[in-house]
Amino acid sequence: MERPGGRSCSGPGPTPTHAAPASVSLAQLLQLVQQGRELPGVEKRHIAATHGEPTASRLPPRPKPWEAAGSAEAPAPPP
Amino acid sequence: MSGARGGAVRTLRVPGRHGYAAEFSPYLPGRLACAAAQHYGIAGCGTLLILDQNESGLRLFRSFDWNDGLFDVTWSENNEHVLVTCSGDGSLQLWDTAKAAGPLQVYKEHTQEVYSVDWSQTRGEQLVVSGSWDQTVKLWDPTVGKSLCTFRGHESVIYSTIWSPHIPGCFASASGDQTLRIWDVKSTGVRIVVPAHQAEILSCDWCKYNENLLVTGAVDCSLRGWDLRNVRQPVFELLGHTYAVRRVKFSPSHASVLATCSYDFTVRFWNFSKPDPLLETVEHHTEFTCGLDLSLQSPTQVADCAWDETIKIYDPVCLTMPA
Repeated sequence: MERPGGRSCSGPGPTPTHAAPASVSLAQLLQLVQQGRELPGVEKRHIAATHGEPTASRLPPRPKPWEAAGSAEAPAPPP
Repeated sequence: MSGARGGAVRTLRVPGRHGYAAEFSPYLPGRLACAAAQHYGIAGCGTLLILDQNESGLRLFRSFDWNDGLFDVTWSENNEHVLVTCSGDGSLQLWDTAKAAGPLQVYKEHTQEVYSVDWSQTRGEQLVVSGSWDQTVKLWDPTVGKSLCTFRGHESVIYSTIWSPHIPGCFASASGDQTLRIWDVKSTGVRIVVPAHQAEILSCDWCKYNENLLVTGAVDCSLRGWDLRNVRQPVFELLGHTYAVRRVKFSPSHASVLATCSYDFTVRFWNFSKPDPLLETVEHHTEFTCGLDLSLQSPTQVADCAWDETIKIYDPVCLTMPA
């Protein structure tokens, strides 16, 4: 299964105030999720778009290595 | 052994962040973007990391947080500052590395996690394709807030969406429905369906030197090559990984070489034109290895990232040796 534990579980409650361990193991996390418990140190953000314009580009695009190769013969896979 | 020692591995440790994808800048040699998530992507925020290489190793140039985990990243092909990420909350973000705060734009249409984003590689257009667990692919012009088109057909989650480097407007998708599909932006219906594996397909890529050739990597631990002119059987099969293949990339520099990373923690290099195709196995991670990229400017350089909170750049021995 690609996403163990799934992400449809409801979000955790208020961020805990105790210091979070640097790394919780995946097995420990899955256990917490299955028990419906709060995950330690979940960092909540409220980030939104700035709607700014991108910084102007000053570099020309570079050719890709396969474009520079020009008419190099394409390899055939083994029969 | 003639001259062929690979360079030292350069590592950046990012505590509390699990790497999902790594991409070298197409403009700046030695600049790498990494999409990462807190808590293995299960809960919490995400971070986009921009790394630069110098003589002593890897340096974090800048990082940007997002409200949910980031699962993929793609650089702009027309602006060295710009990149796009995609997130567990179903949105895409447009970032500018020259600005301290971001994102510039957020694109919210997918109704589930977006696992893949790719910026078109052909010169005539600037388009982004996204693949989601909501089973749809969406096409975007980053200067427009709404998607240009939605492609339906997959019957399960989509894990990978990749533009052809040769055929304008053509992209491939890989899915949990066990198919590889080929699409064209000029029509919303799928062009080719390949029942490529009897397992979920987590990754696909196009050969840079043969426009008809793609590869798929699947949960069955195998890789299969597909010639679009005859998709009834694979043109090669590569075995060796002992757990799911998480990502596969054809080399930009070597016509028959490809690289893979896996839940078996390894990165492997293959030459599909050799009778014994496995070139090298790199075992320097201690957790699922999810991100992988090969440098466009340096034919020997590779970047990867894993759930062990590290990002690595290195030159595998097999790429430093002559063919």
